[in-house]
Amino acid sequence: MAREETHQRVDRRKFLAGAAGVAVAGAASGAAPSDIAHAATPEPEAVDAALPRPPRSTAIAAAEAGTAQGGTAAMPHAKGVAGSDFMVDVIKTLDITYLPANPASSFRGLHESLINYGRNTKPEFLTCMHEESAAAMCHGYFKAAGKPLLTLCHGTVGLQHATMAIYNAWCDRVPLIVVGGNDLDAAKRPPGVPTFHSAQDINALVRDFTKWDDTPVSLQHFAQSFVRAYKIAMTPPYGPVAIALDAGLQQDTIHENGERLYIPRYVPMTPPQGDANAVREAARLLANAQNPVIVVDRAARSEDGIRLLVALAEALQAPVVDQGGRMNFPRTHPLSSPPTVIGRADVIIGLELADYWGTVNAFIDNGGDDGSGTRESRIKGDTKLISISAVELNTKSNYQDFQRFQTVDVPMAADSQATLPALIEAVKAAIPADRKAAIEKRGEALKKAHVEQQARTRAAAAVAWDASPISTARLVMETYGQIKDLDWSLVSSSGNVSSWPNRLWPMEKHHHWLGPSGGAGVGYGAPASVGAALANRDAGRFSVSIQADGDLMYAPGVLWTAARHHIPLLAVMHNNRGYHQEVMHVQRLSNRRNRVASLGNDMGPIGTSIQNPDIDYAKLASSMGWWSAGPIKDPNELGPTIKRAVEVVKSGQPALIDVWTQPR
Amino acid sequence: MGLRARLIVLFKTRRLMLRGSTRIIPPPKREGGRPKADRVGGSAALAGPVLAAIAAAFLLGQGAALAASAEKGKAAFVKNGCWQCHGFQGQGGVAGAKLAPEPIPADAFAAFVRSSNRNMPAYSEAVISNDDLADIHAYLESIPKPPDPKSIPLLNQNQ
Repeated sequence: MAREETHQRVDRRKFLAGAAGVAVAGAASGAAPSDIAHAATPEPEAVDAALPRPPRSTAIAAAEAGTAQGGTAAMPHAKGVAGSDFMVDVIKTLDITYLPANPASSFRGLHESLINYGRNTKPEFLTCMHEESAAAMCHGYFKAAGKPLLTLCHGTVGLQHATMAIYNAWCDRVPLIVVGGNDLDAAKRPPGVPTFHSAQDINALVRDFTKWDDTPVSLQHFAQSFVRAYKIAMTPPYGPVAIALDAGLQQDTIHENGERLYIPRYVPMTPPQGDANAVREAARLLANAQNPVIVVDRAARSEDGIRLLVALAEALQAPVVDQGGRMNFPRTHPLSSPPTVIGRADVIIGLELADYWGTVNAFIDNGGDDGSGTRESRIKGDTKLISISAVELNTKSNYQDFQRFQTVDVPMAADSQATLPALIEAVKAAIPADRKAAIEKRGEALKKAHVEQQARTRAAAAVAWDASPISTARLVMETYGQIKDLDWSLVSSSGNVSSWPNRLWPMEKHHHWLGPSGGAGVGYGAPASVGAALANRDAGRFSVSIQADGDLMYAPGVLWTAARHHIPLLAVMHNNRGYHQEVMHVQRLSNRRNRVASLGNDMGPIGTSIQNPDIDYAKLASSMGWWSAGPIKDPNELGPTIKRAVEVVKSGQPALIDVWTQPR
Repeated sequence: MGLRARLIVLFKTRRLMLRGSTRIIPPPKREGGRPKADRVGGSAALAGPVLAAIAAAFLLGQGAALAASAEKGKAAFVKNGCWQCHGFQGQGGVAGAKLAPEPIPADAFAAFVRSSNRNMPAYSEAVISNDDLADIHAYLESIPKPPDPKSIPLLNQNQ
């Protein structure tokens, strides 16, 4: 496990051909665990530990640069098969397409193997400028592609940078594989900076919000850990996993010692389904309800999930409230309904709800209840509640993403999409014959209400249509007007545009809407959009994001990554020139304390505005290789500008339009 | 007749005098997160004596109200942070209710602003003056009606 200074003579060429060939064959055929590498007899070369050391500063620089030498005599080239070459073989069996990462010395062994031995394909290394960007790219990619990516982080510091994006993925139930390089052996690790960047247990940084982590101490251990990590990440509820990877293990050569390395075969885990009795009870309640309501958040994991939800809703002729964690239910379907229907429900089924309490209760931030805010129930006292949620199987203690406690009458710890086929059949069987006419009548009423709701939404969007700064409804519909004939995918959107895309765009396919960040950590939008756009590029789809100003400035370097790797994305900015979420919090507290909120020279309370000076986002984007325009302040200029940008994106480039907008 | 009953009569009279509007202000939706269920709130939740005092105070200041300036109101709307949730034209959105065009009557407006117990914080006279409040209402009244949504092609792309 430690960084060892021995070198082994191994027929490298023979290993490369044999290992890669067996690995690929094993993955493709689904064969039993395959023997991959059996190194030739090693002949360790002596290393003189007593060689004179260079000055400390030189040693630090050399260590960081990977050129550390023990003295004036040149060190021999490494011989034998690199352990990290075997790691690449393991990684390649899992068909991981990309590896967004910021380079670092603690994983230099694996880095070198990936690009030289692995020929930089499956995965392809994507150069990122911040670990948080890299992890968020993995997040966005998965939601568009349905496949996880791998990212590498540098020991302590890189993983600390990545933590917010990993937390977002945790809260959003998205798998990503984080490998953190670490110099574990204190006796062998380079002094100075690499030691600052090492820790006993780097995974401790993210253990509270990863499903699983491990620190392999041998190459075979790595193979098991990596495949296990992939399997755990990809078993609903999905989630991030972490592997701490010792630098020495990467750089060491494969030992003979009778060791026969193999790569475990990955077989997808069957998602957990709801208990049959609980499913029947849920169906009985729903089938006999006067006003059943279906509430969904992250229920549909794929296009098939949408189809199943439509089948359930139509069997019951029940309204569906889509909270938008994923694209769950077609917005154009007549049973798609606003949250107000919850108040009339006698039975509610919640599918993968992030916050059941918040679904059936309102929180009023008015200083009531001794300052903590007041609660109001949204539902009648005798409303029956049903829940299907896989997250119940994976709750941890420290971070409070499980939200306030809500008592549920029929709770199922299971994956919703996997349970829906049985539930649909049970509902159909449970509907009494004498209820069918009433159920049909209910559907007709909901269809009429849906049409009326759409009309109200359009009327609301028309207000301030010609305003400057540009209204968020205008922003959103001018954008849609230019992409509606394409196979579009809204890869990210600030909810702070009053959710107009979700209210006005005809979202029907699973990739039409990828949902928000999960943990509401600002800085997700830009990198997740780039990651999702990468997946959409390969699928032949057109990617568009509504890009918030504050979000972009967390780590704008991801713009360069998009340009560098030719990732086409249309980013239309919602630039309200402030951290607007926080503006009202300060205003609220000022009012509560009977004080005037100090604005300084800004429009919002001091500390909440992004102005004086205004940021020129078009220049920022163009400096990193994007086509750009703006700031657009006249609503009549918006449509033609977006039209030009769409053509740029269709040619394969990213494009950004800065738009000065209304606050929400 | 109690204070609350007198106030209700007062409000009804004002509604008839103005535009006959019967709307009440829906509460601002919770900031961030997802839109929550609409609900009736606003003036219905105000305590009677408080409401009466507010309205009386506002009506006593009719001199200021009569001289209300839409132009000053626009500046006050920004200075006092109304735009933050309601938008620069009072159009509303996920964080706040639509205020314009066709704002609720001035007295109901003032009553709600002074003693909201919803997500919108109450604004005392120490925070926003009666003059500013009157000007803001005048500004909201000056905002023209939006175009008919049926006349906007971009809002009818999927019909």
